[in-house]
Amino acid sequence: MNGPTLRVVNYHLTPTMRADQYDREFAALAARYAPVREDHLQTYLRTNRWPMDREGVLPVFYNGYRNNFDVARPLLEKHGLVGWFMAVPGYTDCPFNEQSKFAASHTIATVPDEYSDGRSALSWDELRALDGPHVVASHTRSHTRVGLDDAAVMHSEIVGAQEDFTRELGHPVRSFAWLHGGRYGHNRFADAAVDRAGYEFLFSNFAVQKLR
Amino acid sequence: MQIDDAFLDEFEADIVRLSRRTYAEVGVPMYLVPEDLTNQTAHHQPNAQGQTLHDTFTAVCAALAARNGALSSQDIAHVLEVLADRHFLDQPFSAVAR
Repeated sequence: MNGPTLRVVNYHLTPTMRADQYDREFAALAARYAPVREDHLQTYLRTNRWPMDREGVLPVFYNGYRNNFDVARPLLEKHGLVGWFMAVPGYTDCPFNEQSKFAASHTIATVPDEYSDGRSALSWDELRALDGPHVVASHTRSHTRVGLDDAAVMHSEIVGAQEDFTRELGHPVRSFAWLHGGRYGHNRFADAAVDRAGYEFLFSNFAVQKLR
Repeated sequence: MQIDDAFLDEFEADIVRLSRRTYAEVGVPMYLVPEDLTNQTAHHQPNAQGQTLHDTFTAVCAALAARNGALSSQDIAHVLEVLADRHFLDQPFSAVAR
């Protein structure tokens, strides 16, 4: 750890009741650090230097929540930060009236009765709106803990998610965050699936790895 | 870096305090190690900031292991969370949230 370190701030739900808190946090981060896009990250991982005049910070939003779009996104843009939205296509694809049940069965916490229509996940239209001003990335297809010896499920969660993003965004996403933080290099089946999916960056609990 | 009992007591109190956050709804600062597996990167050169962080992290982990036994990956994550909370900003990140 005595070389460069990457600063991230991990978020999940961003309910309206905490909007003032996020506003203060984003203001404090933006005052000290620069926004980071994937090309910036690529340069940083290759050269150990940020291509901006300040060090970068990544606010990372896990699970693809609707309140990330409604609450966090406008505050990020107010302060000039770039959010990294680690979305779950299976959650997004789930019918509104089944999203609560889906979330409960896939270790996705939600805010009860937050939206009257029952939709708690980002929609594809919202993900398309985030894609560009911010970073959309993959956090597996269904937020399911996968046995590392189950190649078929692993393929679906890693490669299938990429197929979903490609279909809906019109291009593959570059970054992948493995559920529970696995690193590239620890399991050859997972590594092979990550390679097939074509991800460029892998986020795990303690590292960001540049794969290609 | 020398870790005395007072420092370690305060560090463990921060671990407990931060572990009580509602993780699902708060921002959790964290350090990640950048790795280029394409071998395009020159050898990482230590920098002063990184060296200080490394020294503190190593010393705290050693002191906690001496006090409590071997650290799990969860324990290590908690150490990094405290360091990130203390050093991302001029004040603790968790103080901004309050």
